[in-house]
Amino acid sequence: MRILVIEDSPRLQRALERGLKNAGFAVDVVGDGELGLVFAGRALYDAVVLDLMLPKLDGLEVLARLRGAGSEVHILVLTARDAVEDRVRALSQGADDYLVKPFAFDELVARLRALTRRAHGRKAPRLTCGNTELDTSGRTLSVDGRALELTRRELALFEFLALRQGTPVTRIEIEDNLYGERNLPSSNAVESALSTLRAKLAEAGSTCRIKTRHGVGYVLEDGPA
Amino acid sequence: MSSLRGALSAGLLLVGAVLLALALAGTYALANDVLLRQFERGLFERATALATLLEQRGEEVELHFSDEVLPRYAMHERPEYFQLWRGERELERSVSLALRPGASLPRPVPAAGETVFLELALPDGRAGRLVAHAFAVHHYAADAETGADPGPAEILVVVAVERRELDAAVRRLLVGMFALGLALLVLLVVLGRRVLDAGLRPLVRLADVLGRIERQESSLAALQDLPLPRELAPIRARIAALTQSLEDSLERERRTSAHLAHELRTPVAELRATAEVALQSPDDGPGAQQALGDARAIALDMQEKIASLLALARARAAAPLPRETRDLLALVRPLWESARANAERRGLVWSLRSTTDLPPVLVHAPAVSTVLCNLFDNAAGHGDATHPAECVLEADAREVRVLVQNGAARLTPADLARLGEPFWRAEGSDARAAHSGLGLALAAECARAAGLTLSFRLDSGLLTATLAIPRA
Repeated sequence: MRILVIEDSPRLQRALERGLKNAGFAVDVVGDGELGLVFAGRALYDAVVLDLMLPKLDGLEVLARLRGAGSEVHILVLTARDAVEDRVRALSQGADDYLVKPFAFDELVARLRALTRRAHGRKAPRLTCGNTELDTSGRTLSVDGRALELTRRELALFEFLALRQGTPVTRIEIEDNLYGERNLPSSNAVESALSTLRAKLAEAGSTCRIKTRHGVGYVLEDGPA
Repeated sequence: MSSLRGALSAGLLLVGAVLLALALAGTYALANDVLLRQFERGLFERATALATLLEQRGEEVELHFSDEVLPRYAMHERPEYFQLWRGERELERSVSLALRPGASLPRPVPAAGETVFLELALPDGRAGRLVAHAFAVHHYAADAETGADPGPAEILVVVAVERRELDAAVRRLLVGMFALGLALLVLLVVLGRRVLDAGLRPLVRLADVLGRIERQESSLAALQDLPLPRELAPIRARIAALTQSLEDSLERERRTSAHLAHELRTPVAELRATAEVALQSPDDGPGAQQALGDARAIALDMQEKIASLLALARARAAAPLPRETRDLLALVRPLWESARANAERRGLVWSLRSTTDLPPVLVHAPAVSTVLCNLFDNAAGHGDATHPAECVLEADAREVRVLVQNGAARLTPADLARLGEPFWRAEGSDARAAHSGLGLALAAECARAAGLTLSFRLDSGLLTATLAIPRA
C-alpha cells in the first residue's frame, strides 16, 4: 500500500514516514500544498494523509482541487483543527476521514488500512486466499490456522496481491506500491521478493499461488501451480 | 445590610410626621385663636349691651337694667357677672355679684378705645374670662334744670363669664386635631409605601434584570429594552458598556486559550508520534537517536512558546516604563538588518528609508526594541511578495514615526482588529512552523507599557504598522 503524506512539520514528517513504513506502507512525504497536489494527482496512492495548514497551498484547497480534477484517492485529513465546522468542511469537500492532532499512531494506521480496504471494495480486515489468511490489522499471515513468519515487505506484497486477487498486476505497480519515491528498488528486487514469498507459501502448504502471466504480470490465485 | 426602601420609608415617615405635626399645631393655634376671638367678641357684645342700657342726664348716669331682661346676671347656678365703674366709683354691679359679699371683679384700666381681656377665677370659683372696656354714655344735650352740658361720662364696663364652652370647644378641637393627625400618619405610611413601591419599581426591575444577566446576548438585550427613568439610564448605559467590555475580554481570552490549545496540538502530535514510532522499533539505534533529537527540538520549541507567553504576561502587567533620549535610527537599523535574511529567503524586497535629520526620541530602549523586532519579524515572516517590505522613519514637530510596510494580500480589513491577538493568524497563513504567533501581541503590549502608540492600516493589500514615538 502506498501512502502520500502531505505535512509541513519536518519532525512529524519523519515520524509518519518511519512509523508508516514500519506498518508495511510505502510512504512518500511532501512538505507543502503545491507539491502535495502534484504528487496526489499522480494516481499512485492508496491513501493520502493531508494536513490542512500548509505552506503555499492550504490543505482544503488541495482537497478541493483534487476532487475537482476527479481524483478518487482516499484522503485522510490529519490536522490540529478540532472544531466541528472544520471537520464538516473537510468531509464536505471530499475528505474520507478526519483525525485530530495529537493522535495515536496505531489509530492512524488502522484508519489508513480501513481506507485502503475500502479502496478495493473490502470491509473485513481479513483477506483469504484458499487456506491462507492475512489479518491486515494484526499483520499476521496464517496457513490452515498456523502462523507463517514473513517480513514486513513480504506481508505488504501478499496484501497488495491479495487485495487484487485474480487480477494481474505489473512489476511496475508492485514497485510503486511497495517502495516509496525515495526507496527505488533495484531491477530484480520485486522478482526476488516474489520468489521468496512463493517459497515460504509453498513450504507452509498454502494452496494460494503467485502465478506469472508472461507479458502481463503477476496474479494471486487459489489452486494448483 | 442597609435597605434603600427602609431608609426612604423612615426618612419619608419622619419628614411627613414632622410636617404633619407642624401643620396640625399651626391649624390648632389658628383655630384656637379664632375660637377665643369669637368668645371674646361675644363677651364684648355683652359689655356693649350693658353700655347701651346706660343713660346720662346731666351729671347723673343710670343703668336701665332688670334681671328679667338679662337673667344671665341673676343669681343662679352658673351666673355671669358685671361691674360698672365711673372713674374710681363703682356705679353698678350684677345681682350675681352683689349677692356675694366682698366679691368684686378685677378692674383693669384699658387705654382709651382699647379693650382688655383677662383670665380669672370667677367669684363662684369657676374659670372665667373678663372683658373691660370704657364706653362713653349716651347723654342728652343739656341738663334741663341747669342748662349745663357736662359731656358724655365714661363708664368702665367689666363683664366676666365662665369659659367652660370655650375650653370645651378647644378640647374638642384638640381631640379632633389629634385624631386627624393619627389618621393622616397612618395614611402617610400606607400611601408612602405605595409611592415608594412605585418609585423604586424601576430600580427593582433593573436589579432583577442585572441579577439574571448571563452570557447570552438575550440578557443584555433585556437590559437594553428595560424601560427606565432618566436618572437610571446612565447606570444602565455604563453597566451595558462594562458588560460588553468584559464580554469582549472574555471572548479574547477564550480565543487565546483556544489558539494556545491549537498551537500545542502540533508539537504534542509530533512528540507523541515520534515516541510511539520509536517504541515500535526499540532496537533501531539511529532511529532512536533521531527520535530523541526530534523530541529535544520539540521541547525547545515549546519552551520558546512558553517564554513568549511569559513575556506577554509580564508586558501586560508592566507599569509605565521609564524613558530616555535615544537615536532611533541606531536602534532600528540593526534590528531591521537582522530580519533581512529571513525576508530575502522568502523572496521579499527589504529596504530601510529615513529622513536625514531624524530627531532623537524619548523611549524605553528595551521595550521599543522588542516592539520593532516583532514588527520586523512579522513583516519578514508573513509579508508577501505583492509589495516590497519597507521600513520608513519620518518625523513631525511632535513625534517620530516608524512605518513598517509589507504586502498582506490575505488580510482583510476585519483582520486588523485581531492583529494583536495572541496566536491569531490570517486564514491560510503558512508561517506556522517558523513563528510563535505571539509577536504582534507582544509588540502591542510592549508599546502600551512604553507609552507608545502602535496602529495598523490596510490599503489595497499593503499592511502598514505605525509606531509613534514622542520626540525628545
